[in-house]
Amino acid sequence: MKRLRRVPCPRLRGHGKCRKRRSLPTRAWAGHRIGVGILFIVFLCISCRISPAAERFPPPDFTDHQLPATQAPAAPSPVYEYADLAFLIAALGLASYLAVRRRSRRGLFVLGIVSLAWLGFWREGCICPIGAIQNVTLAAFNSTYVLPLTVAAFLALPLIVTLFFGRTFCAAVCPLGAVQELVALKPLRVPPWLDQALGLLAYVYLGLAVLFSATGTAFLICRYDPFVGFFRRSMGADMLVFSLSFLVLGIFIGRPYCRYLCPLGVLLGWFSRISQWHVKIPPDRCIQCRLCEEACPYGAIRTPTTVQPPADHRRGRRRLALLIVLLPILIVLGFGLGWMLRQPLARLNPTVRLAERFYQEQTGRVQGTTGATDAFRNTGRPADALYAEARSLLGSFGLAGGLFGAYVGLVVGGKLIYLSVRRRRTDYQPDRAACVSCGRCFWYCPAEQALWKNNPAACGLATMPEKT
Amino acid sequence: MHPSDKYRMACWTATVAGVFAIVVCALLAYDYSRRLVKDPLDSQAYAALKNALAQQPANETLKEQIRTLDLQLRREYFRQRAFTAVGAILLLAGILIFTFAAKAAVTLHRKLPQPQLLPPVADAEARWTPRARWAVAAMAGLLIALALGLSFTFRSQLPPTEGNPLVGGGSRRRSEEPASTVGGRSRLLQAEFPPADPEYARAWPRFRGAGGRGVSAYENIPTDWDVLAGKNVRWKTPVPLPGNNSPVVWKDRVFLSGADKNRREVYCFDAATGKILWTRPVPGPSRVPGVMEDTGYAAPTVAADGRRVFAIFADGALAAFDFDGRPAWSKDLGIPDNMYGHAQSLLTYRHLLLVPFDQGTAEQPKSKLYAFNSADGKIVWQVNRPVPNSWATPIVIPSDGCDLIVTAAFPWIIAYDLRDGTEVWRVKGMPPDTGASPTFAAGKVYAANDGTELSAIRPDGRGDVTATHVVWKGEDGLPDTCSVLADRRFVFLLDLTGALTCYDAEKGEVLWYEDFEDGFSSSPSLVGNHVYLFAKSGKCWVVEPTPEGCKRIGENQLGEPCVTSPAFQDGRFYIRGQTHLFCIGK
Repeated sequence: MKRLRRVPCPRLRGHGKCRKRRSLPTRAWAGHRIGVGILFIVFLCISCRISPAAERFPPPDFTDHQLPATQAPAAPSPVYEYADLAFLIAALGLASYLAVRRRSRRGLFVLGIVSLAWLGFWREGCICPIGAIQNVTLAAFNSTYVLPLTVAAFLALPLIVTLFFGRTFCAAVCPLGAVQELVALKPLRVPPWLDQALGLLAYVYLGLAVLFSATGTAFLICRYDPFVGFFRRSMGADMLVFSLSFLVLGIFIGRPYCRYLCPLGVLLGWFSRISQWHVKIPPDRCIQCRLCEEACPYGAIRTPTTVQPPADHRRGRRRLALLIVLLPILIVLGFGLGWMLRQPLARLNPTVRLAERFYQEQTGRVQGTTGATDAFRNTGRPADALYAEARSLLGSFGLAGGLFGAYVGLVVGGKLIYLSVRRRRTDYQPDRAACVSCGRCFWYCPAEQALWKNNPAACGLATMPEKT
Repeated sequence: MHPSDKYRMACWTATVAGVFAIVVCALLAYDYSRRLVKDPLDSQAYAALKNALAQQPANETLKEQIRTLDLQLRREYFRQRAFTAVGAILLLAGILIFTFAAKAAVTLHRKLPQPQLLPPVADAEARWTPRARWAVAAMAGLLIALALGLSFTFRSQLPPTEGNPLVGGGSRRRSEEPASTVGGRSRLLQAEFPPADPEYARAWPRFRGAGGRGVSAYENIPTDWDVLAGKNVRWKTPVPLPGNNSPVVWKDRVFLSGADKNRREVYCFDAATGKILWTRPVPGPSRVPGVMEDTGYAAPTVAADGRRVFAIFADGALAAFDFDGRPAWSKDLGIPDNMYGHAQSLLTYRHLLLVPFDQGTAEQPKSKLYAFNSADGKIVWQVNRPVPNSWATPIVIPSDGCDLIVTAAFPWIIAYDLRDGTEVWRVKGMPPDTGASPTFAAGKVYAANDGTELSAIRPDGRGDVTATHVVWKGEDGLPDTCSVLADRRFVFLLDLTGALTCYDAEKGEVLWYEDFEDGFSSSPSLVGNHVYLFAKSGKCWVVEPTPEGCKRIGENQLGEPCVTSPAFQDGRFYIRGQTHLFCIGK
């Protein structure tokens, strides 16, 4: 395997020089960004085609005018499904190539914009590997639900690619990641301890998404996708506030959705830990220049560690043992708490909500009716059947809530254990679970610059980084 | 271009785009708030015009005005939508230009860190991991607190089960129930809705009781009484306004309506004492409909559904009150085109209030059958009926898993699916001016009226089943206004002059007839093996029919004329005379 030639770093000798050397490509790249942006906006305008959806406007209720029969829109062409799949495969391959082999931040950025244009604005955020988690879950728990192969592939392919190359899907294929990458203008560094704690939320969100999909209640991820409203140019006022808040937050905190909410990010993080060829910060060997120390706005760079004093080591071992013992207790506690949550969780289920509302209307606890209760009345179905179904669902939520709680207990315990295990590191390395392979750190690495300076023709022909 | 110029340009572009996006966002927010305040779909002018049209259904100018306004409202609605759509595109474009320009500016201004200026930190991870463990523990604590808070805040609102009273409202719900007031009224309002079938059958919720068959659910009804001597008379109470409608009973309440030219009222009596618990006026149009004296302004019998009572009057005013007399909703169906006066009674079926509204002539029928949501008065479905005015009240029957409403008017007996009002079957066989209501017993619908025949119909057909589903026909003793009475064995017809004719329900043969030599408008009723007959004169007979003949069990006097039908409850019945409401019972 070809090794990169070690080159002394000119930047270590003076900051001004470094800026000068780097200024030209940087400015050319900035000009590029404006060009890409203009192209993207043109594409967006083209994609703003008239929606074929029918308006829901009440017909006049006194006229003899014969209303035309309701027309069901034609089924979408399967061509798009295959095109999406082909795009995903190509984008994943290209992203992995650009991140791991070519080490091109610029290429990843442009690919991210293309993915945003295709999967985001053109395909309006659907189909989406993040949401596909719910389809797969529903198919696993509901035998009447047929899982489209495309949807299964949309979940499986990013996971498989991550197993080999790390989270290159997040780097340049995910439209949600691309949006956040775009708006990350002044990303501040979240303290690592807070970053770890907030990271728990993504696990909880994943658990809830699976729970509600398994019970056929709702596709939570799709419902509260902060960016899909932009893709579709349509959203409610509440979601608009939520989405704009995320955008503004994303200016100062890098990829907040990816880091603290994304359920797929959790799965990809697991797979990425054992990835075969994960991206490295230096292309060859770390010279410990510390230039990349603060480079990552996502808190994914892990610093070198030192050997612990024996007393600390013993204390650490005792703590680890205690946490391992505590783990089953946390799981049991979580199960109990989750079971207690069955009623608020079940409240999201449309059948349970309908039954409760119906009962409240029937017993005079609320005034007026809703569209759902009116529709139920029109079916002529007995109320007892509705109540019985709702009670049965409530029972299901008891078990599902318990399992969800146990999972959260396991995650909390696992996280505490993870934070209590000392890892030996001599270099600056990416945290494989947290690193999204965006390539921001490449620019900071003098070894990378030396490679560009001394062997520009070899750019992109760098050897495959060794497995770390 | 010089790099600094590029940077400046990027900054300016970002600023302009950012300001543009903020302005567009503000305009969109303003437009949204304006729409929230003034929804074109809730135009007061539109509602006023529609109300005016209800008063004057034939006013073509009003219709044209409504059409014009409707078109304007729709245009406004779609203009607003177009504004929002364009605004959304502009906002998105503004945000994107700002983002790209700002990104370019940031990249142009990017600086390398100077780590030499900072002291190296040895093993930074060892410094933050203890804090991270505590932060994770704090987050877990927060999640636990959230879970506990949610689980104690949200309680299921489902009804409690017998096995587990805490499932559902539980003790908290019970403690929230208001204390029972006079006569347990609050308990009634808290009752299950729609009421279960047995409860509905025990009550007398409409004209001729549940199902409209005139059959009592109780057999312990007195057969002899004497109003003048007070024998077996629990109470009698004067009714403020006249009306030819019959009493309706739900548990401890009896409902009636009364009206004259100027007033329309609904009454609620205490079933135990006869005291009027409340009287409620019903608003209506100022124009007085033309009615026959025999019909009056309050001929339709009210109906109850366990939570509310509904009343309709000759002028088409329809009103709903809860059992405590609070108005629930009201409607004006318009004065019916009916030369004798509207007399079809209301029906309740689960959550529906069914309003038969037959009017017009054979040449120009205007009849409708409405199904309103009994809770809020919204129309669930309505059908136009190809029949002229009639006075027969429909019945509800079970058939093939779905329930049907069977109507009778010239010339059709038509059954509609109660779910959506779809016509299921029809039989030709009713004369003009149909007044006698049909009935249902042992799987057959019976309909008859003077001027045609008694038809026994199997209700499992589809389409015009005149030739296929009429099991047998009868020609003797046809009624004019008295409804048909039937059970498993017999079919009874009572004509205007007091002749009671008994048919064999299976074969359709006339078994016997008995002449009571009095005028009758009240429909006959069945209590166990006894038939109760109330003559116009106030005379009442109780007879026991057999295949061989009719045995007179009791002959009593009400003391005043009577044209209404009784309502039977446990050990007693209620009957309305010309001026009083009577409760007869031991």
